[in-house]
Amino acid sequence: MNFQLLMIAARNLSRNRRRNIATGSALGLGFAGLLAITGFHEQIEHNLRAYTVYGMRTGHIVVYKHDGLEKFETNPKEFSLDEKDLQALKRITAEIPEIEYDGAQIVGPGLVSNGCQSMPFYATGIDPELDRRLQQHPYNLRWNAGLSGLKKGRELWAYSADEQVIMLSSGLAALVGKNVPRDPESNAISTDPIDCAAADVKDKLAADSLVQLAGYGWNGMMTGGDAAVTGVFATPNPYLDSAAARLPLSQLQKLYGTRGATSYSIWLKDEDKISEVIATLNSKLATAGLNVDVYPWNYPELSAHYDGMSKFALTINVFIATIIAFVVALSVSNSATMTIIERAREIGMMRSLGFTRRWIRVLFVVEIACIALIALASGAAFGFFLISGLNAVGLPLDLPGVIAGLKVKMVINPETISRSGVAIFLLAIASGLYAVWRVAKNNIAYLLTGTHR
Amino acid sequence: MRRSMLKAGVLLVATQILGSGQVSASQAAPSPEELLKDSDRARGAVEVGMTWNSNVETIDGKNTSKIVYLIKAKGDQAVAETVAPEASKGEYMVFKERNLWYVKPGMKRPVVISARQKLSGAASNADIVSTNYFRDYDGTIVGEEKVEGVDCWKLDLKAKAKNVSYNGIRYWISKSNHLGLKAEFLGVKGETFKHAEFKYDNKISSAGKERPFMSKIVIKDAQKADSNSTIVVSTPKIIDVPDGSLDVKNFIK
Repeated sequence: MNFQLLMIAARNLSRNRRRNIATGSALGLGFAGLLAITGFHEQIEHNLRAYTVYGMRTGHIVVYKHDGLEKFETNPKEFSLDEKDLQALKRITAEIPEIEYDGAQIVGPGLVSNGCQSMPFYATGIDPELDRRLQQHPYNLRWNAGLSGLKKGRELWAYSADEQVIMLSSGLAALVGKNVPRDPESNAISTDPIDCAAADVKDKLAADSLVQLAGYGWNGMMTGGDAAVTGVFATPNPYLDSAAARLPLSQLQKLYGTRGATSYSIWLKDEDKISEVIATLNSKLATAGLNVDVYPWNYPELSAHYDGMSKFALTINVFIATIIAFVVALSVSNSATMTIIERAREIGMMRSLGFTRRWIRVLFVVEIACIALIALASGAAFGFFLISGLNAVGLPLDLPGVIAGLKVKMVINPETISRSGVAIFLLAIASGLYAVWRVAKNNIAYLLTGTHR
Repeated sequence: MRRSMLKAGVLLVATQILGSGQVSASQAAPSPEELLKDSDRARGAVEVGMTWNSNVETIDGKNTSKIVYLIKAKGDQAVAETVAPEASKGEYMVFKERNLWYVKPGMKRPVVISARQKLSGAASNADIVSTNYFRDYDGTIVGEEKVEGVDCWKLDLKAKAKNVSYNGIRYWISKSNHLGLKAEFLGVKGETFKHAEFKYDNKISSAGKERPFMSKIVIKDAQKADSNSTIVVSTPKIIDVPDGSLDVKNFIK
């Protein structure tokens, strides 16, 4: 019986090839489109994740002093992690095998001066060796395309720990006239006084990499120090570009007169274990009596840029996928309806020969299933070539808030392919079944005379 | 009857004019320039050399900091040397006209800083040394008010340049001895972001004449009730300050 049903379905498919090809094309192209859109969405997710976790040095898990995420900026002394907190965190993280890297970070404002004028900066202090590992992490290299943003000079880790160094964002470097970073092979730093009224003052300022930093320590006292500009980096938005700086953690701690830090970041070997590690961490922190808050990297207040961009991309992609689904459903439904109407007398005849309504419905569903399977296979192949082709072309991809330089690199994920395939297949079956259901329920006389129309 | 009604009307109008705080031409108010020059003199803007100590205590929420400066001033120049705490000893803030440098022992060059730095909450850098509102602001007398029972002229000051400490100031200067008793410091949009009260219990003698000199300034943040700075000024003296000795070059080692 089943074989007989398949034979009849196969014979019927060859009866109206043009229409079936059109239906199959709609299904196949819809599937290819869905693969492209989900592949693109997955790419954006990876880009944003790599940029946030590694590029922005956020970490997979971040520990703040209790209420420090909201209140550190207004009162750094009270809402920072002190030296004892940091030592305890170091000890606790060493006990958790899932952790790959960890380290403290400090952020804060100050002034950078070239001897003639000063500009405000907002700096991040991080251990240079930790920064090297993060920037060279395989995930960051794959999805952040190695976009450290370095435009000139060298990263902080190229210099010894006892050197007073700073990296400036390109806009800030231009504002203080320090566009020529220090050569690490050369120890020569000019400390000559600068005549700020001289005609060649710009050349003189550019000729040496020395700057002075000033800030207010967390105890309210003004502090300062010298530093050599080692590198100039790009930032994703104009506001940051005119004020961002990066220093070794110890140097920024010295500027603020503290041994504490703003936060403590943790990077995992396997990011699927974030919840598990947070639970372990919370338990150990409570035992140690630390008054801290623990956040996953995608906590909206912590990674507002990721959160906003991710939700925006999801909305756009869901919208496009919904349109694709509607087009596929309407195409299949229309095609099936036309076929069924044309074959109404045949259905009536089959019914009069003893075929049940259920059998008729199954026959039509099998026909649509055959078209869908062939279309999905063709669509998968077409989608694969489409994605591979677009990836090979290397179209530029500019994500707002992320350093320019990314390329379109859609993801071909077997899990996504199978999930999208099942979705399209079920959609086709449901659309076809809907069309046949209405016609098959008519009585034989109506079907044979065609009056059901 | 008609004459008495006329008199009453004139009296009413006069009362309204006086009560509105507007200055009538007949009151012969001193010029704003004269008021500012006199009030600046009691806050350190003197042509002869002077020195005094400024003890600055800043409270910002639960945090308190104390700094002691030794100030030397002459004309447009001033130097604030940090005397305490020990960790900041030997640091200088050097003022020349409207320019300001921060010098720390061991730093290869001075840091050019703005007089507006640390404007909210605590005292700004410019508040701890001599004040020269006459040089930095255009003043207009806009009324008369009492400050703690003392009759004052109320002045609106507008910045003459972008690099002065504040965009504008409302300043109350006593009528009797031309001392600035109260000030409201205005932000870019004209909003008051901090206010200050001044006391003059110190005396300085110059050319055989004894004059009052500032003794205490209390500066409060208008937005944060728990943020304020108190500057206690002690031992003001006229001293000999050689020309050029307050130049920033002399403080770079």
